Amino acid sequence: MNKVLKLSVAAALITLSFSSVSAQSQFTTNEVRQFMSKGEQNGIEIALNGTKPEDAKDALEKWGKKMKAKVVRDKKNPEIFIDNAQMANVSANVVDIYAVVTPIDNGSKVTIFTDLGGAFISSAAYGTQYAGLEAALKKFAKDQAIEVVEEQQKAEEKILKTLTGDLKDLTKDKAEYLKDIEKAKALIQQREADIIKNDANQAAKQQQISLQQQIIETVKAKRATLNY
Amino acid sequence: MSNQQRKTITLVAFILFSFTIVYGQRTFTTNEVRQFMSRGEQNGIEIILNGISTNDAKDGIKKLSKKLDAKFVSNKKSPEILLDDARASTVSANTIDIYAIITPIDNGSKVTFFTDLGGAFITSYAYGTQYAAMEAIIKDYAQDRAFADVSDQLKTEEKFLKTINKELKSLKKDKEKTLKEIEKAKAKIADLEKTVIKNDAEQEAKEKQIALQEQIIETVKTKRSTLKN
Repeated sequence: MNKVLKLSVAAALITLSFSSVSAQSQFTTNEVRQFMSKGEQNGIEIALNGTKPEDAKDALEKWGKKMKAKVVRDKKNPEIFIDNAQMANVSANVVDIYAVVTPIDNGSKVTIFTDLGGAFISSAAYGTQYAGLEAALKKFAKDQAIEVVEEQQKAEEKILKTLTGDLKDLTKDKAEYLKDIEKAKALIQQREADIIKNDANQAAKQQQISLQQQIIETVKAKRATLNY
Repeated sequence: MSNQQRKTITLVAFILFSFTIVYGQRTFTTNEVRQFMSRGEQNGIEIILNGISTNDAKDGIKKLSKKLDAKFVSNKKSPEILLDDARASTVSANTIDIYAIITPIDNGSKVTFFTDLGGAFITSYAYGTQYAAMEAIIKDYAQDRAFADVSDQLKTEEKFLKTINKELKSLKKDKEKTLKEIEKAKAKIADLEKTVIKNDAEQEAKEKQIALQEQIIETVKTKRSTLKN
């Protein structure tokens, strides 16, 4: 039962790995309009499958620094502010990005609102800038996906190492059990020989006792004849 | 020849030997002798004590001296023992001096008694009655020694019987212990064999797990390379 259970778990794991890995081959963005710290604005959202919200936040901070921006991250504020980011594909000037990370099933969702310096990017008003921002966001998501896969690979390799170690231990244990069996068999053989010897010694001893009893009877008889 | 056979033969020989010793000393024969002693050449009575050591013979003479109310005089430098002023009413109304010489012989001792009646030593021809009485005392002494010897022998044999009975008991105990050890080892083997079967199943499962894990890794690697392109 344990064996079947283990195999079922392993099969489920491999199926899950296939599906999770395959699910993040494509990176789809959606334009959204929603409230943020600067009022109701247009933004772009993207799902990061397999990335935990905290990892997504760390990645955004790293992304912001790469764009030579000042990153403001406050635990009390759900928004991460990436101030004065340099994005040549989006604008010749620096832009301010407001990013919100939301947990979703199997990962996170990142929504970014980009202020060009007076107006927020929307596909309708700033088509070219929107496309540039969308491409940058997709690249960010892809990099994140690569990191997730690399982490997963490391984790899976670690599991493989553990399993290989377990198998080695089992092989070693078996060799020891077999040795112990041989040892016990040898002991039985030796003890059986001891029993044969003991039986012979007992028979001899009984004979000795019987003869000794005869000697004693003889001595007693002699003693009786002397004691008159 | 096995050890057991050797033991049996030794024991049979021993019992035959014991029979010989025991039955050999049923009769006590004395001889009148004439030989030199501390008081010159005198007549004496000698008796053979089969199986009695010289020390035991001496102990017997000591006992005899007490019985005859005599003074026991023994000197390491002299082979003679003197029973001074012994009272033996069957021999003489007066006290007598008895000189005893113990000589080791094959399988025992020989004791020669010279009896001084107080001026003359007993001879069969000069003092027939006294000689017969002294001969009876000597035979009684020999019988007493033989009885003591057989009693000692009985004690020794009984002690030996006790020892071999104890050895038999010990052998039986050893056998029981050994049988228990065998049972324990057999149970251990049965347990270990079950463990080996379990281990085989676990190894098989682990090998399958490893194969699956290798597939997972290959899949992850493939994904990684597709993402990097």
